[in-house]
Amino acid sequence: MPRIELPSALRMHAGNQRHVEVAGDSVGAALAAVEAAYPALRGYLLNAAGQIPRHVVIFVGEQDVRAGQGAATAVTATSVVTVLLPVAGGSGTALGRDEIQRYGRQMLLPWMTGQTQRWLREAQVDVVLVAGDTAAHWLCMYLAAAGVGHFRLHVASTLALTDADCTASPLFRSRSHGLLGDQFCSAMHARFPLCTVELATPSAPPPHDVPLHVDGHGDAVAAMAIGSQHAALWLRSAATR
Amino acid sequence: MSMWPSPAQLAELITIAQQAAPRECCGWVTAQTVRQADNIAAQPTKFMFAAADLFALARASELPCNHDDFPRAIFHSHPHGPAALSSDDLATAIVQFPDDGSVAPAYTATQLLIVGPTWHVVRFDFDAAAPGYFRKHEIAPW
Repeated sequence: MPRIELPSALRMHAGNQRHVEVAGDSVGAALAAVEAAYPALRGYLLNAAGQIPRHVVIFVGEQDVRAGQGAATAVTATSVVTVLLPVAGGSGTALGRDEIQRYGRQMLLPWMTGQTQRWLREAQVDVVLVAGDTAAHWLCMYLAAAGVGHFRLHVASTLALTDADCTASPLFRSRSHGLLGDQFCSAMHARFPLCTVELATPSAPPPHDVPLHVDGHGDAVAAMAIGSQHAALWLRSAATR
Repeated sequence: MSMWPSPAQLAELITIAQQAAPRECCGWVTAQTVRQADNIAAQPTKFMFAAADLFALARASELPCNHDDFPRAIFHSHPHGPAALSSDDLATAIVQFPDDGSVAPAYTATQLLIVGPTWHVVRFDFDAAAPGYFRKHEIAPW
């Protein structure tokens, strides 16, 4: 009878045996016999169609059966069928060198996954700018620093930048003059070149479905800075809605 | 108590990852050595052990766990992404049995090492009770 060599992870469900001998004239028949003898392995060695699933690699001797006839590969009484689990994976995501350099430190945080940084990059935040209130400036700065990729500003087109904005905002290093929306875009572009910042068209309604209430600089920063696991989880849930 | 992986092993891991970049590298780490495997994945953001390395790893995994050549950890690099386990990594690192839903580590080496994009080495230990089944355990002081 062909001998089926099992990887260590599967042995606990096969009586802790390193190998079993079963009847069968093909790989599929032999693996089906193993599943019949050890029901806990059912569905793991063969899929519902009786084919070899992608999460196992089967060799007859030293031949990978995926390159040949798969489950239909013939076996004899002296064949050794080795079941191996593939060692594979990978980040599956491609961040640019600029992004890696910029966000490398936060990628060390325990809750940062490969998906998280990509979600941040693809996220768009709607921001309502109001004269004399720089909470949104701080919020945007921290979100952009964390990797949020797109900002859309809702601001009255005639609203001018005030001295109070310049003094309290982290984005303006010196007194600036002009329209608040234009100056805000320029400052964000200069500081965070990987982000896109655009003015919403006048016809675009401001966002009304605000999931987070901001009632001060400290709360805004604490809630939305990337150091907040809650923020990362919130973005994740928002992205998967 | 000696540190494992040793500074020399960490340095070797990082050198291997840097030389393989922009592709991912992969292999395993024993008590004292680092063994690089051939990465046959077509995409630069994936890795897959070549058949010969799968066999070599399987043979080494049959050794007593206190043997010098026993694989203690599987490693790979993420030159394009965070030093975190991706969904692809998890899909092959654990075995979930359809019959009873139980979960087990896929590899005899229950530790995974990832060399991140900033050439830090992060270690993950299998823990069935942890979210995602692995606990991020240590960042190599580099």
